[in-house]
Amino acid sequence: MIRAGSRLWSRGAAARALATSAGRLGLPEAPEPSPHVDATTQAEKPPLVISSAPVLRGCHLAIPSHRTAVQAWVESLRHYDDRHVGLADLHPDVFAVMPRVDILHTVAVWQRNYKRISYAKVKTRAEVRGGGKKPWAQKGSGRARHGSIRSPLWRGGGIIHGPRGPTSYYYMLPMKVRVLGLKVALTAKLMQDNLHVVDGLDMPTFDPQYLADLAQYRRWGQSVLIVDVNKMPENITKAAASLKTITLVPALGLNVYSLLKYETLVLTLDTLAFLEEKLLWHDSRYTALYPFHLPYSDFP
Amino acid sequence: MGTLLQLARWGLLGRSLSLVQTARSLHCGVSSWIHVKLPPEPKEVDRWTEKRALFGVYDNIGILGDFQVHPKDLITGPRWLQGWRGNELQRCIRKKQFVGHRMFDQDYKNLNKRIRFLYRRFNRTGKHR
Repeated sequence: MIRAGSRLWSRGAAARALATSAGRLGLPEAPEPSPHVDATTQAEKPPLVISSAPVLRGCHLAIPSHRTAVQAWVESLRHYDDRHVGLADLHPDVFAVMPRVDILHTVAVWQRNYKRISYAKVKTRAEVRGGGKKPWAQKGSGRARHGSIRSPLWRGGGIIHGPRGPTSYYYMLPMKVRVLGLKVALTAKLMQDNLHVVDGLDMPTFDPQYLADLAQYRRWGQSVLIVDVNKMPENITKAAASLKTITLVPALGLNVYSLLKYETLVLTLDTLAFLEEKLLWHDSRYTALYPFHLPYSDFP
Repeated sequence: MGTLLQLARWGLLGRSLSLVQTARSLHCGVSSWIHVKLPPEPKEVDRWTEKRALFGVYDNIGILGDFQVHPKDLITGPRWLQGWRGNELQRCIRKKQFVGHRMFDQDYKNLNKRIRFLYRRFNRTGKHR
């Protein structure tokens, strides 16, 4: 464990810890940072700042016995290099599901279309103004026979099969498909090193440049989506308000389209617990006899 | 020569040339010029406006928020179309139910004509009736 730990401390960048967390093995809570010095580490980065009391988050919900938790580093926004504050266990049935790209596509297309209302409308020959009178007699004038100047053959006439009225493209996917879409998206973010867990959103300043520099230093990518359950502190709200590609979103607003649009996802520890609880409930619930917004006696 | 004069005129008037579709001229032969029209420049789209950055937020409000709100409550638009889908006849009938009592006279008459026409078209003609 210490040997594996020291390799990881020295490599630094986002890497899944293969060993289980310290709490489970009964080892002491504060591992000593053994400086395993390489030529590579000396060339890459300055020495890591490792706190003496790391934040270790275990999974609150039961994990099936045939699977183990996946793990992620817990970081912090207080200092630009605070990347190894602790280790978090993530539930495998939320963060390590099968990577179903087809479900991601289905859910993203649903999100694009279900709220679409197209307002295109053209007038038919009955609605175009005029055209009640026969323009010339049926026979005798030498011209083609016509009944109205607004028939579709005429310039300025009605359109036959055009778009008709505001059209809605609403449909709903089954609830479990939408839930699975979220799980697949979170899995994809974790497995592609785009998920970062943060112990809180406390920032030392409200300067947007600090947040942008932090994201660039830690190589988070072009766009960052920061999600929190609780009310967000003022500093980060002010900082993100003036940044275009870094967005704060409450946990209720998490969705597959945003996860695909933004390169990096930053979750707090409270958000992890919230998401695991909400998304795992669907794996073992009874089918709805009536809509869930009506009261049920056996669960809140 | 014509294009050179045009360019000079634009320059004197101080207009910007970047938005104008520039036309090149190829000189081939003694006195023949071929005017070649270039394809229009692609318009620059800002992918990170407020609307685009926050698209799709709250779509899962039902699943993540105790089912008190349904995503169809987020849809803005005509009230007879919020959270509902139908073909043209169904839409006309629903519009009449929701909004028919306060429509303008001519629009109401056109709506009734349309319903009558579509009913007959769907239920009396064609293979599927």
